[in-house]
Amino acid sequence: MFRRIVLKRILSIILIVIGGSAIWLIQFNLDMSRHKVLSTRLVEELMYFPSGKFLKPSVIEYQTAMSDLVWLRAIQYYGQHMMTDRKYEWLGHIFDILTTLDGKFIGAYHFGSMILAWDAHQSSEALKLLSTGHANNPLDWQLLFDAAFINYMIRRDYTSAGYYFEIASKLPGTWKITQRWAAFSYAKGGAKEMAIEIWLSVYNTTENRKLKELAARELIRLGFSP
Amino acid sequence: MRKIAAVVLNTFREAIRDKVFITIIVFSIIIMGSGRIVKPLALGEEGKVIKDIGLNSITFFSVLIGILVGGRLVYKEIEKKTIYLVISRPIHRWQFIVGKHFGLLLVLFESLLIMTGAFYVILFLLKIQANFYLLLSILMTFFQLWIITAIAILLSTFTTPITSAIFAFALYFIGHLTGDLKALAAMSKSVQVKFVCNALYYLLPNLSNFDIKNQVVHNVIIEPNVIFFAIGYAIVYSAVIIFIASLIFQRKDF
Amino acid sequence: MSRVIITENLTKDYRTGFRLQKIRAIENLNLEVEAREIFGFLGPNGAGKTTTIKILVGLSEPTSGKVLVMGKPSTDVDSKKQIGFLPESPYFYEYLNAQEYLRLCAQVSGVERERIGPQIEKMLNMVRLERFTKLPIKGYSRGMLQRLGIAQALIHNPELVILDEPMGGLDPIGRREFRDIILNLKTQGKTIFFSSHILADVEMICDRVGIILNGKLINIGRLEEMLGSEIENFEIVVKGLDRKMVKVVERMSDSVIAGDDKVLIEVKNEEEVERIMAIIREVGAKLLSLQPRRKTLEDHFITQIEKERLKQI
Repeated sequence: MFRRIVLKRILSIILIVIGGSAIWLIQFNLDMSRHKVLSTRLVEELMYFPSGKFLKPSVIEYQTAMSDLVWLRAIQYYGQHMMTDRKYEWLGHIFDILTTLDGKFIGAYHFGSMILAWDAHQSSEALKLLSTGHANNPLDWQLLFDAAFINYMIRRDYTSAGYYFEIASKLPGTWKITQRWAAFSYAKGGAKEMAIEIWLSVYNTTENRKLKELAARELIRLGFSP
Repeated sequence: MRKIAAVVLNTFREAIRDKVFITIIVFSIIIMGSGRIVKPLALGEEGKVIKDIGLNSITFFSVLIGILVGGRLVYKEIEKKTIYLVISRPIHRWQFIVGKHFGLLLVLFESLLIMTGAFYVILFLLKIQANFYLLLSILMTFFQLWIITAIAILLSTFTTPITSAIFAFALYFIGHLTGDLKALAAMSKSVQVKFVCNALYYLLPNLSNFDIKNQVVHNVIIEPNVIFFAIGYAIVYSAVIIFIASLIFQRKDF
Repeated sequence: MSRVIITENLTKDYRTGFRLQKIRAIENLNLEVEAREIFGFLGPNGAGKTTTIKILVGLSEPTSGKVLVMGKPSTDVDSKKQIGFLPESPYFYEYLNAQEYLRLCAQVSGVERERIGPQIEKMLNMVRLERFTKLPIKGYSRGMLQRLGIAQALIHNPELVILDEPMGGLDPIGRREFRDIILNLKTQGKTIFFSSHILADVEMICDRVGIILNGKLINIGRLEEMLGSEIENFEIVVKGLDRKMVKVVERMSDSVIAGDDKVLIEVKNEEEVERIMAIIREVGAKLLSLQPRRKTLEDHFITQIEKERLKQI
């Protein structure tokens, strides 16, 4: 009698374990076959939002959490394309959504503009992002600094660069060196030294791993040897 | 006054034992704890991200509790006839309703306490710099709940829990979009549209008054007037809602 | 005040159904309950007893008519200070224990803070729940629930106690205990108003009685007056009558039931009793018992109900 009950119990447990394993196995294989489709899905979902202006009201007071979700997705998007085709078609759009949801997210403007300018070669998108950032955060010096840097290094528009450097140098918290670089730019000289100096500061001060890697790449490109 | 207190305490005890309540608390702490996973993915921005997760989930879950538990509060008493032995005593019907409201607020206050405590512990463990400014956002959430619970109780006096939950959620959602109504009123050229939009704007609960999460996470200073007026709005608006609920409750036959 | 409950032309209508049809639950009810009496409110199920009680305790409002309880309108919150109410199947907050529940009741009923503790103790002892103070009400048996029900009705020492079908579902011992409690309350000077359809209980303890049928009060008055002190018939039990004598007796009486050696004889009046007694003496049979039977409440009740039903045809 007692033995029968114990056997029944053991049998039930075994059946459940087998059932559970089967479920796991099937799901695993399902995921493997879906894998290729999954990564493009991330992007497609973001594309369905015509702009952040639509997304914003639909998440009512949870905009900041949504902005973090988009931030994580933006990083995934960037990482994925950096390892594959190096085409960043939707990067500007994604950061536009992100910053519409959270206009004070300085890190987004900073990182976004850097990768737009240097990896995606979309310097005008980068500047557009930075100008939104500046409008939402008029006292932030970093965003103006980034705009100046892009103008100098990529667009070779030294006058604009000098202009942005100058404003940045007057804002609270700015690097002391900014004023000097305003002068540099205006003088249209010393491209390489200044660039190396700036990339070194970025490399040393940022906690953003990807930005560090970007700085390292640029330093090597400029022929910097430690 | 003592009679209201008796109802408050009883409501508190009852709501605490509500399974919905406990489930939501546990869930919220889990969600907040998941912030740890975020750290390597956030590329240096985990401070903002985790604070966001914390504040947003505290708000979300407390609203959930307010609507789901609140919507059942009065209904359950009528359903289970436990109300017979309270209403047949020398207590005004409005005292009962007010007691229920404050009992529910007490429950939410406790939930906020628990969730905020867990939140700060998580921030500490993840070595994220946090100040007490974040508490201001949670305070505003509490006053938003003041209004939401009043609405939930009003609905609970005359509809079933499911219907009241649906309407409460709808009002919560709309309450955050009232800014658009005001903008519409300003943009429109028609007098009727202007009037209707403005009327609706002042009629509906303007819950966006209580959303300061963004400012708080980015350490933007908020004017004290904004806070005080928002709190005043919450108290007055809820008082009107509870008054209407009392009127409905007064006419009820059991 | 001498009249604890007064209703004047009390009418209650309900509207139900899709087209909000009017249902008249109570019509022109005129009730008076005197202080310090036990009043039984009788009627078949659905007659309107519970509806009336709900109006008295303020759970419901009259559609028209006046209702005064302890001199104040039933809708007045103050009128409830002196009412102790026990509904038909009382529902309590299950997760509380007896002590917590009674504390809640006392507080809401306005009992002074210092008196609450002692009053709770007194009540729990009175209903013999003192051993179960920490047990959540969820685990109570039916009898315990009923006892808690009495405790909560009396916790604030009200002058008027209103009970709706208090003895339904109780066993004979429970019912007797309940009757004793009610009689005890009367000696304390309280007024008791209770509804029931168990006529035997009502007959035993009520001073006055009201009969309600289809929302209308069809009879109200003192119990003896209603039943009359008239004797309905006499029952005689005799031993030792042979079959021939039984047949003789049969012709002289209303009914005869013959057992093995005992015979039960029903006669209408005292002359007939005398005649039977004469026969018994003559024949040398033994008289076992002689009982006058009065009209019972049940008889009266059924008669009244049938009269009303006939009226409606």
